[in-house]
Amino acid sequence: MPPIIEVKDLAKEFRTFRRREGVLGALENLFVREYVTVRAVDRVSFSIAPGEMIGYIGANGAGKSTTIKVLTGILVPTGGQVTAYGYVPYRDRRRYTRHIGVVFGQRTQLWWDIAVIESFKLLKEIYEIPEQDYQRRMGFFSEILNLKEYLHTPVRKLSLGERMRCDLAASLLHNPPLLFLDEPTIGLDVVAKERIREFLKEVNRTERTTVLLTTHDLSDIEELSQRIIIIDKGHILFDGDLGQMKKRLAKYNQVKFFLKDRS
Amino acid sequence: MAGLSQIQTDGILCERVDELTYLMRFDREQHSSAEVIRKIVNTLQVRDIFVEEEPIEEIVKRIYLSGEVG
Repeated sequence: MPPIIEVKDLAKEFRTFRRREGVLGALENLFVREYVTVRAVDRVSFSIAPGEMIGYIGANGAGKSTTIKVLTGILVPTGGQVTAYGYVPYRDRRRYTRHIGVVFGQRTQLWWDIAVIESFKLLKEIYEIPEQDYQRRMGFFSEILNLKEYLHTPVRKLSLGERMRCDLAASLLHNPPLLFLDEPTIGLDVVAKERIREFLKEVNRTERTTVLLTTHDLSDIEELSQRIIIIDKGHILFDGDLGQMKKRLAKYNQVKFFLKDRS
Repeated sequence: MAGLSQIQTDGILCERVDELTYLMRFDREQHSSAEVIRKIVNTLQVRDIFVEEEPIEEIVKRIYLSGEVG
């Protein structure tokens, strides 16, 4: 099967200028600017087959979010080739975005002040989802994500976990073959995390949705993905099977023991 | 803790969790779990014992810190 995502030698540089401190420095900043080029992503290559669920991990500032932003068409890369679902994301952005779902864990894409159901109805119009499909998918989401109770609540009154469930449902309403998740379980309690993971597994299994997710929670990866890609300082350090990684990279075993209490 | 120093040989590291709980970490190429467990139960009065693979967090932490794989 041909890959659904193909990234080759992706590079992304940001140019920022160094700010000087103090009043004099601020004045100087107005006239003389010293630019610094930062390479957030440097010659990154990978390809993803349809139906894969991939964990993309790395420390803060490693280049995860930059990669996701290039893949979703938000950022234009400095170099390299990117194709996803047959499109070049940043160039074919308008046509491409119909085929993807995106959730950024730190912010919501739902309308803050209106009831959740109204956001869904708006999305239905935006994506021109046929009534029958909309009803079927809403039924499915309500059931496994347990959305029913707060469909009529404005988003700003939802808890983080409830909001995340709504965001996930919203991102999948148009049944995209590709789903990008940037830290979907950030700040959630164990039960909320578990529910989100179960949902993602179910969607991946029944719809064969390809999922690329970034996370800092390694238990997300252990639960969800077979394959992990580790990125550090813009470079890929590891790309492979989770089991393989343990086999190849685990150096130690550990024995924990409790002594008899002599008292 | 008497006895611990006997076990802590090449490639075996012991960490005290609390007065009665210890964690022994060892290079899996150099030592087998069976050998380490045998040493522990032969030297100390042990109530309970667990063996684990290195947690994935630890592996990833090492990769982040060293910036390389392996």
